[in-house]
Amino acid sequence: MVASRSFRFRLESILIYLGLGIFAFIAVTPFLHTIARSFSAEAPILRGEVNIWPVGFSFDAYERLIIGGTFWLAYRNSFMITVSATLVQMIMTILCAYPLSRTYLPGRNILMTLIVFQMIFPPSLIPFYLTVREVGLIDSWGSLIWPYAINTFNMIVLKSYFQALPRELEESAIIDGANDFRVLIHIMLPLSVPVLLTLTLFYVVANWNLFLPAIFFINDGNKQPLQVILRDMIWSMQLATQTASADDFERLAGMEALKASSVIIAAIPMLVAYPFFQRFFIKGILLGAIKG
Amino acid sequence: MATSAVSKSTAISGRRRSFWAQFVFNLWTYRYLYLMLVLPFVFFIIFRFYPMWGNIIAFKKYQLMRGIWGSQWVGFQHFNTLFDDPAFLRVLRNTVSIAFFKLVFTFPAPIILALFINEIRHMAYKRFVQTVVYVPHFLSWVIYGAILYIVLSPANGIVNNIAASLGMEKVAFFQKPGYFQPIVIISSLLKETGWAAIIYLATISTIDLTLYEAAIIDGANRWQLMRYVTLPGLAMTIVTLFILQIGFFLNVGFEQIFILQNNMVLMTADVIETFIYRVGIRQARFDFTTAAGLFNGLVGMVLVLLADRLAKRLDLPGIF
Repeated sequence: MVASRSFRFRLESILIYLGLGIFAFIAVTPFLHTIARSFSAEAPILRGEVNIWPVGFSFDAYERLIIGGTFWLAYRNSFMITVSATLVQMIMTILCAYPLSRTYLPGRNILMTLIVFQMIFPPSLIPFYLTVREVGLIDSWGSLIWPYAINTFNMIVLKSYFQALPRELEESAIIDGANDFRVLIHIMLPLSVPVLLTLTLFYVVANWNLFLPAIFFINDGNKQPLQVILRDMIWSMQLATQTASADDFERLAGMEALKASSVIIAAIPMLVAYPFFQRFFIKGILLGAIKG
Repeated sequence: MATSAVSKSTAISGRRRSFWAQFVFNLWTYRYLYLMLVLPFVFFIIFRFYPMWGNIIAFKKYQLMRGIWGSQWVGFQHFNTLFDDPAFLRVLRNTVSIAFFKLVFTFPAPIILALFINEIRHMAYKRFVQTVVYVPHFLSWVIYGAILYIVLSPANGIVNNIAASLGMEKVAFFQKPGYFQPIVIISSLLKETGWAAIIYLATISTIDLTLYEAAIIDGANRWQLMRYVTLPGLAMTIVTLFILQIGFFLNVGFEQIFILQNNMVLMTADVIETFIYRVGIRQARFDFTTAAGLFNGLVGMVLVLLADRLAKRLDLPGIF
């Protein structure tokens, strides 16, 4: 240890600390820039004076967004989609994982083979789209829920977890006359709370961030989730600023700040939930590392 | 007691039964477990297996009125058109190019990040760095893409502001095809490197501390510890994840690329999945793009199986 306290060691340490600091700074700068713009007056933004600190501090953009009201619809839609989809996904994942975790179940190998097969050969977009259309889910929230009811990776994580729980627990309950549903609900699930919570969070984040399925299956603007509404807003503002002529100036007033504040408003729920998620996600990713 | 897991073994080891008798017996004995599987398998059948059959329209002239089954067979016609189409060849080239650069840059980055984070002794600083680099992972590509549009804005984004203050010319990044693929790679690096480092950090924390102590007594310096203790400890994880990455080589990030691309950069930005969406769903050329999807799926399957075989050859846990 004596040698490692040398000047060279210290210098290297400083460089490593600095290097990581720079990486973290670069990773976070886009966010700082966007936040700074959202709180800035329009003129300094257009002159290119706003970098990571607001110039000409102003709440106007947020006021316009909150009064405008589009975001309430977006939040509401995404909230409802996230809650219902996560509920369906958790129930389906548990129902699939538990029986498959019972190694004595006849036919289990065939079923597992089928599941692995659909994992290596996932349906390609067009037949998948045509199927969703045939089932009649187009333009309903069901199209964002049922076709995604089980994430196979999550299901296998849960299956491995159930499989690792001691057999004796199940056996004693069965001797006491419980059926498999009771065993699952009263014994297995209470023992699996941490993994269930982690999987719930995985699903919640995926559902909240859901974008492509809505692009494929939903045309009705009133049913779109937050991500699609945000994208449409950004694109129309982008287009408006690019094609603007001088006399459009009135209409475009505040567009740059508005763009930035829309992004921030859309990001807030995740950023608020992040400290909570961070803890469970890290546990979850470690669970996922256990081979299925 | 017929349903008991305990008594099941006696039933099996007892008399010989005919296949069907055994089948019915099993079905009844384990009825609750099979009942649980009904809904999940209805899901798999409708949304995972049925669409596999839908792939046959790659060999048909799909007509809406006649449906998948009634449409006329055309053999490999769509595949011929596809591989004669310069647009599709360009799409293939873009896909392979993005996949390759993603592999080269985004694979090693989290390993390096994890090695460096591991060198931090100051706990608060360590937690700070980790917290900051994990955040972007939780935001959707829509949000991150919008942020990139703002940051790279030609007139007044921070990147061009800095360029201007250094006396360089401002660049319209999202309108120049040459910038598209670098933007994809760099934005993946910034968004996902931190998150991807978690698995390596977790593995590092399982390395036996006595190995480090022994190496320090032998006079190893920081880089020697990294080279001869930490990296060998990570070797299994690195190889496993590398093989996995090879298996999913063609999954270049549909959502990310779809969000970042626009018509001006399509010549470098169009990849197989976005091509299928644009031509297939938007222009309703279902049969033609199903051929592209089938090609993509088969190549993907071969890669995954090869990767799995390779993993098992190396005595690693396979993909499955």
